[in-house]
Amino acid sequence: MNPTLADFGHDNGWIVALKVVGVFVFLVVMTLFTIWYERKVVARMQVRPGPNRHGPFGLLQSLADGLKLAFKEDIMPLKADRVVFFLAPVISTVCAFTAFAIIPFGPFVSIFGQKTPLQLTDIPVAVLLVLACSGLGIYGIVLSGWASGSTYPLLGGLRSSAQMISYEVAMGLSIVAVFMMAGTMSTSEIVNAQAKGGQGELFGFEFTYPGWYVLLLLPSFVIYAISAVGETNRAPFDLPEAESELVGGFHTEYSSLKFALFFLAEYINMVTVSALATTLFLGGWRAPWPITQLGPWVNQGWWPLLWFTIKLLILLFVFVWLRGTLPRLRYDQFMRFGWKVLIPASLIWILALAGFKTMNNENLPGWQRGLWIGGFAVILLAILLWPRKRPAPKLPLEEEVAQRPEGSFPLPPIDLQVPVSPRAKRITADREPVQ
Amino acid sequence: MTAEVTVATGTGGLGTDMVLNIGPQHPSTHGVLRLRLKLDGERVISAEPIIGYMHRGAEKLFEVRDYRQILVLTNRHDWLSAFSNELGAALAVERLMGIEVPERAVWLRTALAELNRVLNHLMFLGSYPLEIGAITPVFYAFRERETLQAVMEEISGGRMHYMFNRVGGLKEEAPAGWTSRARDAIGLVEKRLPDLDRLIRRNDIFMARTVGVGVLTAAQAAAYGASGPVARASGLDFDLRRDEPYLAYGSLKVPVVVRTAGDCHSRFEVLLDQVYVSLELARQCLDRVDQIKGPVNVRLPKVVKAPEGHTYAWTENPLGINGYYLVSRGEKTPWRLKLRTASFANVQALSTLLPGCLVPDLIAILGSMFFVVGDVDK
Amino acid sequence: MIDVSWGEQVVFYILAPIAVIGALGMVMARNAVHSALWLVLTMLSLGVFYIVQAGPFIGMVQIIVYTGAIMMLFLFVLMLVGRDASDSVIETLRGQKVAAIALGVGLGVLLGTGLYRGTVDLTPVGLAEANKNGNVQGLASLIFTKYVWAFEVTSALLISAAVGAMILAHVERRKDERIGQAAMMKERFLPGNYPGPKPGPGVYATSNSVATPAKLPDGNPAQRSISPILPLRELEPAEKADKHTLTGGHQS
Repeated sequence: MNPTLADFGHDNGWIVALKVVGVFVFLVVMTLFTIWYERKVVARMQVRPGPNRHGPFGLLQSLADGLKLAFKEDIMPLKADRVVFFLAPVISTVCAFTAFAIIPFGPFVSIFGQKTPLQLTDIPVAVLLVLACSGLGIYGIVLSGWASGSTYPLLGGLRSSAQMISYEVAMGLSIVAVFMMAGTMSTSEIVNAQAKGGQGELFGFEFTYPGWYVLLLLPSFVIYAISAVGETNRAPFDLPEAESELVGGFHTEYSSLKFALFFLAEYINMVTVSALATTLFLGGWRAPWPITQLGPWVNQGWWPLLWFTIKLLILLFVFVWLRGTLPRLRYDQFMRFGWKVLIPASLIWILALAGFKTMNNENLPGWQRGLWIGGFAVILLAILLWPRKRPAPKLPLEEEVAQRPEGSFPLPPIDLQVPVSPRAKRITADREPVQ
Repeated sequence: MTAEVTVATGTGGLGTDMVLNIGPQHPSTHGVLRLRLKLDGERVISAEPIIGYMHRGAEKLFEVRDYRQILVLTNRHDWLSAFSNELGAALAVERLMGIEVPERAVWLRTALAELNRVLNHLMFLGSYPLEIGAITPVFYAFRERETLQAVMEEISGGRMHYMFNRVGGLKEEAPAGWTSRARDAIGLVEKRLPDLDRLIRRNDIFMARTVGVGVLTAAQAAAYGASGPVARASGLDFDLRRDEPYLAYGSLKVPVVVRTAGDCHSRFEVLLDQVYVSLELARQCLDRVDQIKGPVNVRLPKVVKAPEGHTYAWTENPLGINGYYLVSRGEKTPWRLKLRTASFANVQALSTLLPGCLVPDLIAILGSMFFVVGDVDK
Repeated sequence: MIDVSWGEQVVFYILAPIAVIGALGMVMARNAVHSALWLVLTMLSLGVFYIVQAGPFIGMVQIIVYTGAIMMLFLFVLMLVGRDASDSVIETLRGQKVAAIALGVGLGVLLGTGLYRGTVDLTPVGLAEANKNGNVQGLASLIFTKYVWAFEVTSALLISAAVGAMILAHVERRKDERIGQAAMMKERFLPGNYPGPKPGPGVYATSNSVATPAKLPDGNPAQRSISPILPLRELEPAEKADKHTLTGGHQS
């Protein structure tokens, strides 16, 4: 008995309030934890211990940092647009929190005797809500860049807006495949759709395929994962706040609690895209395969919250791993990657998937199916083997130097033999090498 | 009624260039270099390096210090290659005074100079990826630095400004067993350096950011008087250790690491390969030191006076050619001690490297020119 | 009258004024970015209205596409234009403001009354039937079956508009005209140009004035080493005379 779309919207007021508070607390705690987690993981990757002073294993470090931030001086730049400057972090944070409303944490649970799904709410277009919220959340970043009234934040804001428009397209396209497989956009039903594998038939072989979309729709997952990193402004796509280029990017001029809000929003966004990836591709709150052998209880009651959180933490680890490993892309390379690689790849993949589904559904005659596949293969081969223009052969350095116009700057040859200066000769002659 | 109404919707600002000051306080200028840029979007139209925020008048200060005190000042302009700096000044004075430095001191100096070179290069090998956005390599680089620092600290007592050179040799004999400990440290670094190498050198994003970016051709490097790793990456095959040997380099085979591409990546590679070479050289020197007995310095008169005359001592510092032009009038202070620093010449090339590139490229180029602001501003 | 649920009424009476304020603010705001923000507010309210009226998909699309993407592009352009950029508009037609307001209000009243008279007795039907298989699925099956022609034509129109806009805005530049860093530097080093910093003035034992030219390797004075703004003057005999610097002031 799993929650479906019809099970939502019947809760009492106080249960709704309880869930809202629960989601809020979950996110704030996750943020505090993720900051510590990131610092600790990245520290281990960098052969150093990481935070270890406050609390056991330094767990209270981020709490201390948060408190410290609250007591910092709140600076308003003279040239800032006061209202927008204030609004920007608020927009960021509000959108970040809102997106989490549709993430399913688990199946039906009993809260003080009330049977209710462990999810704040679900709507027919739930996944789109996450996209909408992340789209609006970028307003916070863009506006903060503009309202700061200084150059570095402005560049950061500009980068962010272009980045968001590009990567949201790729992200939306990667999710389309999930919609096509699940036949719904509601998160609880997508989780249900991944509960069971199915029977497939390919070239006469029958096999059972697992239910997780990460296996069925691997290209989609890869594209989603990449664009999620871009969407959350995390390394290697952290261009809006690239500190070695733009100092702090959009939040250069922010301090105190306003800065803390940006920080909060960034980490909540990370948690949100990870939670969405869990829901869409990793089977949601359901336990993974070896654990399911223990009995049906693993997918009932409050246990799924544990599996969900573990999956979440694994995805967050990947975020940190990327940050610890990769340098930052250049802005134009990043945009080119989005528009010329991710989006076309998404489109082709969706087309292929649609074709595959159509062929499976309708009872096409065998020869017609073969014709389609053959035609597809021919087109693919033609694209792959299309002749490319050969680059002009590179001249050797000597010839390049020889071809320079008359009167160019004198250049010593690469195998230049500098005569030993008489002084050095004397010194080396005086000193016999010691054996 | 012809009131002038102003509404903010127009294209009045389109096409105007943005002026951006990178520095003097900016995380990527490691120091107080300032670049005044004109930007069109993110493309740099013109770039003007503005230097001098850290000018300390080193050359003027030299003129009122005696030759022993000068060494303290010389090791400060390029704080990452302190040993090599003081070495150059010491060589100049020794040459003018005609002092023959004991054999053991010469080999020890060579070993220390090479270790200093490794320390300097490791610093940049860590900080350069950091500027590109990779935050991990710097810790690997500093782990190696720390290992070598311990060795340098043991012999000289300093971690940065060693002050171990003296006119006529070194300050004192190395502690007992130091050479074997130094060899161990070198072995350890050689063993662990491939970690750093594999982490970053062939990284796809790193290559995308640096290959073909900030190309400096050999002619241009020569025209700007660039030297050291920056020039050698452009194909300017010039290394004083081989071409005009000082210290014990004459009896060592010094392989010179050269690339011809002249872009950021080849500059980085020159630095990285140079570390391997220098570690090997340092080990050879240490082996020699063990075979040679004798003093490490000479007895100097109470007042060191260089005889009247002038000399130019140049050395291959980690960042390039470092020269001291010493003019003496026979007093205990130099009449003039002109300082030719590597970074100063290398930074000149920025004004031609930067226009036409993007802001992120600018950071990549800036980091790959390997300069120390103190060395620029003197 | 149509039966409107209590919740829907609350949402309407909160958001309708906000939408109107947003629209007014967009027209009134002096600052272009503020204008855009007011418009965002209106669009958000409209999106919520769609959702409340049982069209969740169109509501979300309104927020994602219009508010999220298109307004973001607007902002992008406005930010490029700059904070303080402004156009001065001189009112060329006398009294046009008054006329425009009057006509605008008139149009609003006309449309409003028309809509009111057209819908006052209307009973909406078929919502439940249309959303029978779910709102998204119903919409999809209509778009991709009955209205597929219109849908494709619209998308072709939009794409040609986008391509047209790109062609109009695109400045054609040949590949060799695009000057990158390497090309710029090569140009700078062509024969005839002097790329490097100019030499400093000469520093000699007898003089270190800025007006003293440095010497080239062949002994000639380097003209580049002195600033062209310095006036030329003849040296006085006292200045020309041997200073005996190298001999420590003793005449030998």
